[in-house]
Amino acid sequence: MSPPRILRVAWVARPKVYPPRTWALILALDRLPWPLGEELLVTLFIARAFVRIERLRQALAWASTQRTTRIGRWRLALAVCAMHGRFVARSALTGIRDVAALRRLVCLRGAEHLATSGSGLILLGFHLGPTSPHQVLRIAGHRVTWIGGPGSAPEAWPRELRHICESARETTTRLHQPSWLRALYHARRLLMNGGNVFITADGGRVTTTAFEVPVPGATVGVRGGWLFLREITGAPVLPVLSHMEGRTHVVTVHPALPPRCADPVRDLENCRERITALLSDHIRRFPEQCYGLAFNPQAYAPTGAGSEELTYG
Amino acid sequence: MPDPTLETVQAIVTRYADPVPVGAGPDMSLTDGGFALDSISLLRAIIECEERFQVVFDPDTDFTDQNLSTVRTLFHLICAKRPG
Repeated sequence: MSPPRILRVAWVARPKVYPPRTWALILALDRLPWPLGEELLVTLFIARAFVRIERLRQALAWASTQRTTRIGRWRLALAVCAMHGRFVARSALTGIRDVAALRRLVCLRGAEHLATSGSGLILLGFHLGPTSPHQVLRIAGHRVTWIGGPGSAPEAWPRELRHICESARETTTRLHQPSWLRALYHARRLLMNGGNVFITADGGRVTTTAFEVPVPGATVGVRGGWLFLREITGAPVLPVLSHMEGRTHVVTVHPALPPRCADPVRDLENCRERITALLSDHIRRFPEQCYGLAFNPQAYAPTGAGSEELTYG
Repeated sequence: MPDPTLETVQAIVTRYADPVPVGAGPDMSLTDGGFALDSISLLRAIIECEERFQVVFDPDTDFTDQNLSTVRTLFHLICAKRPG
């Protein structure tokens, strides 16, 4: 088995998405054989909800939009907290040190849609399940560049998994305009050269939205970056959703959105309809996995400009 | 290949501003408090400049707060990228 991360180096290389205390905990638990660290983090996140009551309140508020009975709401709220812990552990690959171990814990569905859509694809993700689905695509042998979000130094990750975890081109917040410009410009160039990019449609600070998607219990604001890339490159857009099945991270690639039509209003409506159907079904099936909606409801509301940036801790 | 002028660069930027600010000029900010271009509108303007003036930007070095501050700084950036 590969050695664990070198603590001092990994500490300095902390990805900004993890608060320092969470990263310290992850690095400590990383020394334990998988899945001990992951399961401990799940338990700690449930316990933490009773200390950080605001989290529990948010989880219960989310649960009340999904469940009608008191016991059902509490079950769902605690499941949201537990799943949040699992996502944090898994996103940081806690206790996972090599490709073979990670390969056993992931599953890619709908890969045939990638094959039939050719190259130069926009893979469109959502913050409605385990993070880093691009890693699952990479481990399944698909070359994909993640666009946007804060990146991380390679030293943050186990040596054997660095090529899977490779950061996005951008290393600063997407709200810093030049960095987001650079990201979109790179994405355009990659697409025009036949590369595939992974970009998220939602989450974080939604300051301007292309359209809003009403889903059970919430409204998801969809940003316009991917629409712009689709418009100027003509690239097919394949929605990608991910969820956990037990301890397996399942990533599902869905069929491409309808091709662009001449009428821009109709075109937007076509995309909105397809995305609404996909997200609604996903949220009904996995409400406990939608931590982005549960813990950051303002980010998804129509007036989300003042919301928090999503973090994993 | 047409030579870039301050006026043509401003005309391109103005096309993507909605609404066009009162008293729009070459020293007005491209973003907040000026043309109010968001990332996508600004990128549209940049791509049009690239195509019109046959220049290729290096996003890592060229897309800085300083270079993308006003029409004039964008114009200087385009001139600097022209061969010769």
